[in-house]
Order: sequence, then structure tokens, then C-alpha cells
Amino acid sequence: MIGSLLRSARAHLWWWLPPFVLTFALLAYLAWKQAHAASNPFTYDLG
Amino acid sequence: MAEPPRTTALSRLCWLLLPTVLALCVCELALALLGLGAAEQQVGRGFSRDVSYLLPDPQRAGAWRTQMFQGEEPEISIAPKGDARRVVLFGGSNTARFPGGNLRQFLDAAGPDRWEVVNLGRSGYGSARVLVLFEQALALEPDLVVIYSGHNEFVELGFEMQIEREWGALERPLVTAASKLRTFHALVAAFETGATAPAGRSPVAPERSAFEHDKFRSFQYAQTLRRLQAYEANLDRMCALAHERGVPVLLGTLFSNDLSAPFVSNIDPALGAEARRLAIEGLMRVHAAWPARWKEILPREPPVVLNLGDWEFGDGSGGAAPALRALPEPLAARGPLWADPSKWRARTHELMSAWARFHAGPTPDEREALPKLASELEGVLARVPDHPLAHYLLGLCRLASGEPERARESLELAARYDRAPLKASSLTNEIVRRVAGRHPGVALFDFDELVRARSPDRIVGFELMQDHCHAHADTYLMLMRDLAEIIAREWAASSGARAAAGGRR
Repeated sequence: MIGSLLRSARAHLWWWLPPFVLTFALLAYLAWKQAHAASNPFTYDLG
Repeated sequence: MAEPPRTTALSRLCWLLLPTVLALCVCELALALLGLGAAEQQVGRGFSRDVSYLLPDPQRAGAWRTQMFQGEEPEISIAPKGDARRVVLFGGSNTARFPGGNLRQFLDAAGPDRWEVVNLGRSGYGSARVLVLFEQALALEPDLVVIYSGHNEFVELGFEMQIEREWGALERPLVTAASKLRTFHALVAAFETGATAPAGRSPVAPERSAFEHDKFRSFQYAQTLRRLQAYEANLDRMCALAHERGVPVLLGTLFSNDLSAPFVSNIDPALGAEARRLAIEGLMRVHAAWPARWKEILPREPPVVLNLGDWEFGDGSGGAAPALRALPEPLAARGPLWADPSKWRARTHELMSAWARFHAGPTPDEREALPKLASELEGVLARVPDHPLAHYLLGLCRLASGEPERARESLELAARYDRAPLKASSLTNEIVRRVAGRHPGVALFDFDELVRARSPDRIVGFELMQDHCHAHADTYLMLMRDLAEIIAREWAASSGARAAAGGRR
């Protein structure tokens, strides 16, 4: 069964790999950007 | 011979989505089991309607807790609603500093009802974020709401500009959605470990105001007025929502320090280069001829803003408190409402000493110089009638010349024309009065008048205020007595109206 699933995964490689990579790349990009965000506006206390 | 596998549209769709979704689920499950990646901050920063800033408490039926302080302050637990009347306070840092415990005591003493005060004030919140919180907080079933919001419209706009600069329009919804995932927070934590702190990322620091100031340097007055239109719409929305739920609203006018300088002054390019040159030259001559003893009170760029720490967390090395203006009755014997000078920082003492020298009156030489300074400033205003700094300096000249009425007019115009005010002005209070006047079930509490009436010459200064918009702790305490009386009165009136409506039915 696992062999059949792997064969099917290989047959459908171009269907699942791009959204998989894109989703995790996007998550990583957003997380990287959040981690390097210039500042957190909540730290202001002017008002 | 075996047939090659047939690819149906359904199986393609499954292959398109399932591996990604499954991998995400596995990550989420693994992180949950390991106790990693819990959301530490909401990237919506109070602006997002997709984030819940109030959550039902899973451990107590009917109880709530906030998730709006991002670890900077303790979150608020709200007990299940009992017999006490629940009043919920909304606004920015002023509201956050309202002593809710004292307000409850004063309310309990004011009449037969028992009261519960829930203070949802949050530093930096302007009406846009107060509105988001307000919509969610109606679930707390308040019996009455108090809105004191209007100092932070341009602080909040600064935050919005910052978020827009950091996150594109496409990225904002994506990051809001991503922030619901443990995987995202775990990745943020991983990246943060290796990240060097960027220049802007530091704890609360007064010099941050310089950053804000730069954003607004070329902000035009038409933009200022547009932002205040949005403020009016936000107040309208809150009043309408409360009315739909049958919740009475108390809407406050805002008190500000008349003696704090406008935040952003600039000259409309439409006035032309020549008018601009002459106005700037006039202002430079005023600056040069300004009496040396009063130099410290001249506005700086970026503005110097005293904060709570300057009044409460110093070592008092500056010595005894200087004498400012005498307060009118009944506060005359009491003197300024500020904190013990042994807690002041040196810069607080320096600035208050400068104001004390100013309020003590001019020397004969200074008195002689004042008409020339005033005339120079009037010349600037003839060319640029809405120049906030010129109005402000003219107000100070008139105050020093013993003309408090005219000084008050100038100081009011200075605040009114500020391109990005960090304090409310008569313009803000006109909006508050207008909104209160057009909504049923909305009553006004006039904090501006209450503070002005207790200030010398009705000009609000550092005797009652810590900075441009925050008051001393004892000023808030005094105002909580007033607010309790107003709430008790309005509650009695609205209860009477409800009883009459019930009787008619």
C-alpha cells in the first residue's frame, strides 16, 4: 500500500510539490520578516 | 497488462492540497505536543478584526480574559457578571491610567447600586483600535460604557503608516492568517534567535517620538482634517453600536496641556516660496531674541516629551519642587497635583524650573522685549495664518505680558492647527460634542471644562498635567470623583427612562 502511495505521489509530483514548497516558503518568509520587523508599535507610550 | 493509473480531477485536487495540509497538521500537532510555538503576539497589533482581544475564560463559565497587552502588562480577568452594574472604560493611555478601583469606590458611595469597573484602556490606542475592541467588548454585557478617546489619532496613524511600510497590502492578510499557526510562531522564534536587534527595536524610549515626528514633517493640514473625520466616524460607530444594544454611553471631552508645544508645524507649499522664506526668517528672529531665562521652554525638534518615568522613577536629585502658578479654589491651598519631587528625574526638575521662571514673570528687560517678539510673530501669522508654532509662541508672549485671555486664544489655535497633534484640541472636542449631540442614549462628560475650571486663568499647565495629554495621578483621582457623580446621575436618568418606557408598554 505504501509502495502504491509512493508511486502515486511520484506520478503526481508536479501537482503537490509546488504548493507544498510555496506554502512553507511563504510561511518562512513571513516569519523571517516578522522576526526582523523594525519595531513593534505597541512599545510606544505617547498617548 | 496492468492499466496505467487514471488521474481524475478529484485525485488531482487531493494531491494538490492534501500533502501540504497534512504536513502543516503534523507540524501543528508535534509543536502542540512539545508545547512550542504558542502565539506570543498578535501581529494585527489591535487593528485586526480577525483577532479576538477578549476570550471566554475556559476555567470559569461566564468569565472573560483579555489578550491585548502582548506581555507588556498583565492581561485583565473579568469575572462572570453578577448583581453589580458593569461599567466598561474605553480609550488610550489616559483611560488606562484612570484608577478603576477608586472609581468603583466613588460609584458605590454615590448611590444604592453596586458597581464593577472594567478598564479596557490601552496605551497608544486611538479611535480605530478602540472601535475594534469596543465591538468585541459588547459581549461583556456592560450596563454603561465610558469612551475617553481622541488624543491618539495621530499616534495611531503613525502606527498604521509603520505597519504599512513594513507589511505590504498583500502581506497583511497573509501574516494575520499565518499568525494563527504554531508553525509560524515557531519559525519566528527560530529566526529571532539569530536576528540582530534592528535599530528601532528597543524598549519604551522617549526618543521614539523623534521617529514619529519625522513621519509627519510634511503632513498637510487637509490630511489632518481628513484623519479627524475618520475619528468622528469611529465615535459615531461606537455610539450607534451601543444604542443598538441599549447600552448608555458617556462620551468625554478631552483635556490637554495648553502649555505643551504643537507637535508638527509646517507651511503649506501653496503659500509660495517668498511667504515661506519671510515666515521662517521671522521665526528665526523670534528664536534669537527669545529671553535667555526661558530658552528651555522653547519647543525643540524633535519635541521633548516628559513621560511617566520622569515623574515617578527618578532619584529626586534636582531638589525641592519649583513654584508654578497658584491654582484657583478649591485647590489653591493644595498647589500642583504632581508626585513627590523626591521621585522626579533631573530633566523633570530642569523643565519645571524653567516653567517656574517663566510663570514668575518677566524682568524689566524681558518685558520691554515682549511687544517686539509679539509683533514679529503677528507678522509671521499674517503670512501663514495657520502656523501652529507661531500661534504657540505668541500665546506664551501674551501670557508673559499678563494677557491670559488672548494667550488662551493663541494657545488654542496652536493646538488646533497642529498638523499631527499628540493631544486633543478644541477641534477634537467640537467633534465629541457633535457626536454626543446626535446620538440618543449618549451623554457628555466634560473633562475639558472640569480641568480648565481648576487651572489658573483657565489655561491648563503642568500644575495638573505630566505632559501634553497625561495628568498627574492626583488629577486623575479628582476626575474619578467627578466621573462617578456623572455616571451615577446618567445611570439614574437612563434607568428612569427605561422604567417609563416599560410603564408605557
